[in-house]
Amino acid sequence: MRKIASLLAVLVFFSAFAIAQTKTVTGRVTDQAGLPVPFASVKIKGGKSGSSADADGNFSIKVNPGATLVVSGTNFGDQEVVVGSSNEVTVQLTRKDVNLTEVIVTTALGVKKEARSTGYSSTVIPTASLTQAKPTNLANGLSGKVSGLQINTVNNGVQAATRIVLRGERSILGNNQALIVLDNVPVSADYIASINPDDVDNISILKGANAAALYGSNAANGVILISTKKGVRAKPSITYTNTTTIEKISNFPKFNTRFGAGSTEGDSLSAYTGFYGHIPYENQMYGSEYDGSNTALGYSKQFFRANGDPYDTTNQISYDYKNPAKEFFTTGVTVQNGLSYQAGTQNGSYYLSAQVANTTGTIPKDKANRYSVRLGSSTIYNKFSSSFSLGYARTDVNIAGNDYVQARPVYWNVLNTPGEIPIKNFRDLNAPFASEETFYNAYYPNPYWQIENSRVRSTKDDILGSIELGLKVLPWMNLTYRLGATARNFQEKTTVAGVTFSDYAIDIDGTLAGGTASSNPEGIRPKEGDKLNQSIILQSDFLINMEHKFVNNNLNVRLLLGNSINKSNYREVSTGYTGTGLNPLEIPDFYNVGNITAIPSVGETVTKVGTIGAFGSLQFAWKNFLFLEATGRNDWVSVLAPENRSFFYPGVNASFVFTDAIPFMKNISWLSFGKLFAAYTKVGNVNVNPYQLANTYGQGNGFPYGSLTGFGVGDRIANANLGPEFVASQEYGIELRGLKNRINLGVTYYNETVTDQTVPIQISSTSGYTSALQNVGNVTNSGWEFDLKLTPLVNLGPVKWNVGGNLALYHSKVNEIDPLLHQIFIGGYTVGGQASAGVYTIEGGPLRALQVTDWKRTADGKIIVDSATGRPSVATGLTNVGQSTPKVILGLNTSFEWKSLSLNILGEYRGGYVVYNNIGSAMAFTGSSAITTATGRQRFVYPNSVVLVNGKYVDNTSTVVNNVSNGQGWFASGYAGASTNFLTSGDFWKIREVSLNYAIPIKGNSVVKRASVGLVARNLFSFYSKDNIYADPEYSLFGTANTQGISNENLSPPTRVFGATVTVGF
Amino acid sequence: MVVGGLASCKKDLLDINKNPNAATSSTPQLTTPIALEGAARIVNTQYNNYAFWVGFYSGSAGFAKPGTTYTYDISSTYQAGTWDAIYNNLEDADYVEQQAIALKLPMYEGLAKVLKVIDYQQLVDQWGNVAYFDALHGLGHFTPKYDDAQAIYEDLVKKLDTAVAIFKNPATAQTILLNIDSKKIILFNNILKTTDPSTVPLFLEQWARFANTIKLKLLLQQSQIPGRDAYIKQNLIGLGPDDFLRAGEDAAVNPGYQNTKGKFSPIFSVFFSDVATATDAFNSTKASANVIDVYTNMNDLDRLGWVFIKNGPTFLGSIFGDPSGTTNAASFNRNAVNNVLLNPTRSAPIMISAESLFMQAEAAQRGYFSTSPIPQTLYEAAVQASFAYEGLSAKAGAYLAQNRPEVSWTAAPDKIQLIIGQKWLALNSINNLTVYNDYRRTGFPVTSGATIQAPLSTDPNSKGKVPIRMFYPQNEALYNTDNVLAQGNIDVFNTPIFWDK
Repeated sequence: MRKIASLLAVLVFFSAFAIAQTKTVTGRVTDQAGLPVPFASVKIKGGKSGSSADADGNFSIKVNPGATLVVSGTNFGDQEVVVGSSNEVTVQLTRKDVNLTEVIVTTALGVKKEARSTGYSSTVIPTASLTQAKPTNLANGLSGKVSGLQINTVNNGVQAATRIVLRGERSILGNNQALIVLDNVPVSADYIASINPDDVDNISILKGANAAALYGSNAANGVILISTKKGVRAKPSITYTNTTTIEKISNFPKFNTRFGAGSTEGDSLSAYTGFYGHIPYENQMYGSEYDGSNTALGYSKQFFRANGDPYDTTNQISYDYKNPAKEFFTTGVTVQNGLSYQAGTQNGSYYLSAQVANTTGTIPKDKANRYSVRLGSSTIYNKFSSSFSLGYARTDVNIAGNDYVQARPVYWNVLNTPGEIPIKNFRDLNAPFASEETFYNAYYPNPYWQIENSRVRSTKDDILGSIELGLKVLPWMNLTYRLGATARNFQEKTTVAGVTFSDYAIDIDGTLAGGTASSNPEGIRPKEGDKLNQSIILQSDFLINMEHKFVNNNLNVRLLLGNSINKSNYREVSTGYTGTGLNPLEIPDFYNVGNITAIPSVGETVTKVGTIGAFGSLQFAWKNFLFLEATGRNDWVSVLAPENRSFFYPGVNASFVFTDAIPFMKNISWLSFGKLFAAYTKVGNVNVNPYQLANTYGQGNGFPYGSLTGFGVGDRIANANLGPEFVASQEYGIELRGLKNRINLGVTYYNETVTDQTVPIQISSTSGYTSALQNVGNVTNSGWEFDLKLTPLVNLGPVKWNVGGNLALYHSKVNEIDPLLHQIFIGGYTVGGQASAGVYTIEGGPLRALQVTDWKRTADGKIIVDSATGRPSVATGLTNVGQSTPKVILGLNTSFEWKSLSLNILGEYRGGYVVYNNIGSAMAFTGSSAITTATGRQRFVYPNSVVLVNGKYVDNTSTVVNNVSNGQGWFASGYAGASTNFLTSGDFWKIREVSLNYAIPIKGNSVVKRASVGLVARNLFSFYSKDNIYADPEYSLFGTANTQGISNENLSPPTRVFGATVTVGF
Repeated sequence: MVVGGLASCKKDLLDINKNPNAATSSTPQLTTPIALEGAARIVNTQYNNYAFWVGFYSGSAGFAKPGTTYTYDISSTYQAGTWDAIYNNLEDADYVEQQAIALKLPMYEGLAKVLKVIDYQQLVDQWGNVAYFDALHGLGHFTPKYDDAQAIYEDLVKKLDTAVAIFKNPATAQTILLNIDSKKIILFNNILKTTDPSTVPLFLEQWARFANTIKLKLLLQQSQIPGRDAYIKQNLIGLGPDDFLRAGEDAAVNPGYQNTKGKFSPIFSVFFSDVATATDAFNSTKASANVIDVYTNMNDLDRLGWVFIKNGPTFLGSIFGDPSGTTNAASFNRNAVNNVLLNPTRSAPIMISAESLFMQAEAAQRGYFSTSPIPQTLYEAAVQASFAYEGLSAKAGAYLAQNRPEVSWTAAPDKIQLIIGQKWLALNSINNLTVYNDYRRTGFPVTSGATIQAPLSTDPNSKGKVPIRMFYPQNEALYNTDNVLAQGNIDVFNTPIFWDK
């Protein structure tokens, strides 16, 4: 009614002052609810001049009476108003239906396009979805949300590393992780941990080579494009967020709860009972059964009275199960405090934030602190646009290192703590029996001593700056220049305190145990090692974007030409760094390289890589429903020989929005949008490290001896002819939206063939070398991706229920490696140079297969045991037990909204693969695993076994596994021979994220503009395959390297995280 | 202007692939030390397994036994590492040779040729036909064909003749630069470690004698081939005791071994991973009961004590092949100060002078020399050189004075058995491959029935006989398949090396 009234008024003024002079009109722009629309643009129709509203929606403009104003705002439809006699107008804008808004996606090199025009699949993840469960590491906020994206948290701890892979693995030995581009600067894969997730504006996932081709080499694995916030054009606002979560161990391996300390050596075996006897100072758990009695712990220890007189005493404990592993690990706490400020005018905006994330781990005293600040801004002024972002993050990590005896990690020493040990009694190192001198365990240190005295401290400074300048030269031509740089400084110092033992301890240890004290009568020196590295990456892009319409505006032609330059420098200097290779020190507690007793081990590595790319794309769009694009890029890379360093690769893609093209389809009420797309692209991928083209000469055999040097010829023969790998990728898909956009479905099939892979083939040593890098190999990687969104599935006014799911099916096949070489060892466990459990690439199989040792078996799979000892023996060679990467990944999410309450749940399933858990082998050695008690430590007939009788294998019903042979019990040594015993399905279901949020209603004039409280949880429940009684199948002993699917006892147990979050906006 | 700027920027960005982390070129002077040390390292570290078969070593109680060495049931992974180690060393020697020819440094060329012969002889003696003429050619030659073992031996002899000619050429002395670099070729014995020009002739003579002694070794190794005597004699014409390594001229390498982790002498590094940290190899390898008996019976506890140290009141040995082993059996004698087997700074011998003298004695006894030296003199000098090498010169006289057929030239009914038996003792743990070669070639020491013997394994799973060669390594079968298959079916008990008739 009001609207009609104002229109009438306008008409009246129009007729009365049609020929009047220019006057100033003031007005106010609001949305349908009457709230101001800030910075709306106000233009005079047909004229050039214009104005814009302020942050409160108020504007003033000089106009001729009768002129028409065109008012528009971001996400609002245009509104025209005719100026009448009044000097004041109120313009009400209508918000666009979000579902009808054409989705804009960020494609390669930050080029924004309408989603309908792309002939390949790309996905945008909005901030709200990323941070709904408040992860400290952004990567954890991506898991399960996009089909084809696999995030593995490869270890647990205060700085858990993540491995990010798009559409599975494709390179045999090269990098397989997705390229991370942060504000247009390619950064290292682990940079993602240095980002404050709240700073992220959006993430675009370019899943495959087709989407990423213009990024050139390194983009063959897909790209994760991260854009940080640049502020919004609105009144200044301040947001404070606090999230406090706690972390608890979620899944322990199955423990032996029945038997206490005892070794498996023959002399501790009771001939009468068949049980092993209790040995109070043992680390192994092959002793007698718990009976609750009082028993000695350790051997006799010496203490001193106040007057200095020594006395001997032995610790006494009750002999029952106390679950020391559970007692040892503590509750970790993470507190994130973030503050951000943003403001903007009609010409630009800026964003300023600071965050502190303090984490303590499940291993006592482990901690990590991340401090980050960010400044981002964007401005537009007529033809000029600019934006910049500057981020700095410092990460301090302080975690327990390896022990002084065998250089073992904490978890291993906990697993060598027999079940009856009241471990917390030794937490205070000054408590009786807690020091290295008086600790009960003759062979392993007090884990609390270790966390106190062996530390790895690191500091990482990450700084990234990027600017973007735009110039609209002509209405149809844009120039863009970007320059970005990131620098990292990383420092790490590893220290282990030394120990000494009293003559008393050495003596009694030597008599009884032959343990650490008597083996090291002179004590063990303290050690230290240092590592420093710095890396700098520079990226420069220049883009010319031209767009023009032809043929009655039906044909839109877009041409993009560009050039990009990337340079990365890395330098590392280390002294006595690697693991047990730490340097011994002279003066205790003085951890400086100058205090090293012997010749310090030192190292230096420098790498420099430069890449230049020139690229172009030409796209034709016909009537906004048919799109054809051709792309091409030429790269010049420094790591290849001058004659091979330049290579070109082309691509084509097409998109067809058939619902707009075919007349009758426009009228199908239940189908609002349908698109078919296809793409074919070739991408050159240089998987060659720098300096591989020339033979190297290094010192070995102990050289240099004094001033005498000796440079031998390296084992790998250089190949100056190395070239890039080529990924030929094709992709087909369909996207459908229907039932008023409630259903949103996407299906994509992709197929990549990777040829000329860079592989170090092994060669006959008679050639003078043992390996040579060659361009060989042919791998096919294909898969299906399904994304479904039901928004809302149920809409009952205040109650909304949304459901979404994504499913990815992976398939890879190694067509050929090399005529001579039919399998490649990627990584794994080796014993005496032979693998016992390894990840392999094998011709004819999937890209990653696990091969492990197994028992000798008959043709029908029965285990052959020795007729005398009852023990099986290890078969020669390895058994291929299947793929070590998932064949299926399914993500399911659902959200409920009820008034101001919202609940989000995200679950992820992975399946179809196997993992090897070496912790099973380690725990069989210590006797801490439940399997070792399966027969009550009695002799038993090996299940499913046969013995040779008169030349034939017959079922074994009576030959029992003997208890002692060659000084070792069965489970402690023989059992670990077959790695198949610790092989499990890798399948799991995880409830990745649960968040419950309540937006507190705020009164209009309150100082507080927004407030919400919530509960968040990550990995709340993890359900592993039934046979997996060991560890998280995501874990990898090899970190983020290509060897995935092998974990061990050095990785701490998996955890769940839950807590609360509060956000207040001013 | 813009184009020019772009081009120079392109150069700065792309021409940066020069390796800053490792050297991409070397020189004969820089590579010779590691080639020389590497050759000695192989001799000193790769052949402990043969010491079990020839009666020196046995397993230890309480430690895992050396499975296939105990049973003789070897596979294609047995000694595979040695094959790789030798070819790796050959590549270094080849590099020195090629570079020396290119740079006209004949001394290094001759030295490299000698090293290649030392390496190739070890390959042939264990595997017979191996890659030789086609080997070490790198790119484009990844599957070198194998050559006939005897043809390789004959070419090795020619190589040595070339080397000797180089050493004896007066011009060679002129090309040795007596500057800081010259110390780098002088690892061979301390005498040669000098920058004094007057020592150069002596240095070259010594290398010529070393080359001749290796030639003698190649020729003598062919003593059992019927009809081969003429060839052997032909190649020894004019050579006499003066032309071979003389008493005290031990061809041993010492770049400056230290009692520091990573800088130990090669044999010490096998048995100790750190100054005071013994390896499993040390703990699981003990003196064989056999060798203890031999030394004891011949009143030679001094030389026994140089190799082994007793772990109790008396020297005990472990019976070779005994699955349980003897507690407190003697272990290797280790001392950082005294001259004993495991001294971390002891020079690594390639060929000690005793071996030269024993070979001369045998060749003289077989009548190979045109110069007709007296075998008994050479034999007795050899035994004395062995005592001298172990720092026991004073004990040699009394030892030789024993009127025992295993010691006394006159008392011995079979002079070859005497020579080989004493050579066996002299080379115990010093050159175990040579002892295994003699064992195969001459049948001495016998497996039983003599004082100096090498009994067969008593392991219940023993194959009952000592392999007479090695299988081609597994990696060769994988990466050089056709050339391995061309050698036919290899039976390690029945396919002899060409000289093993």
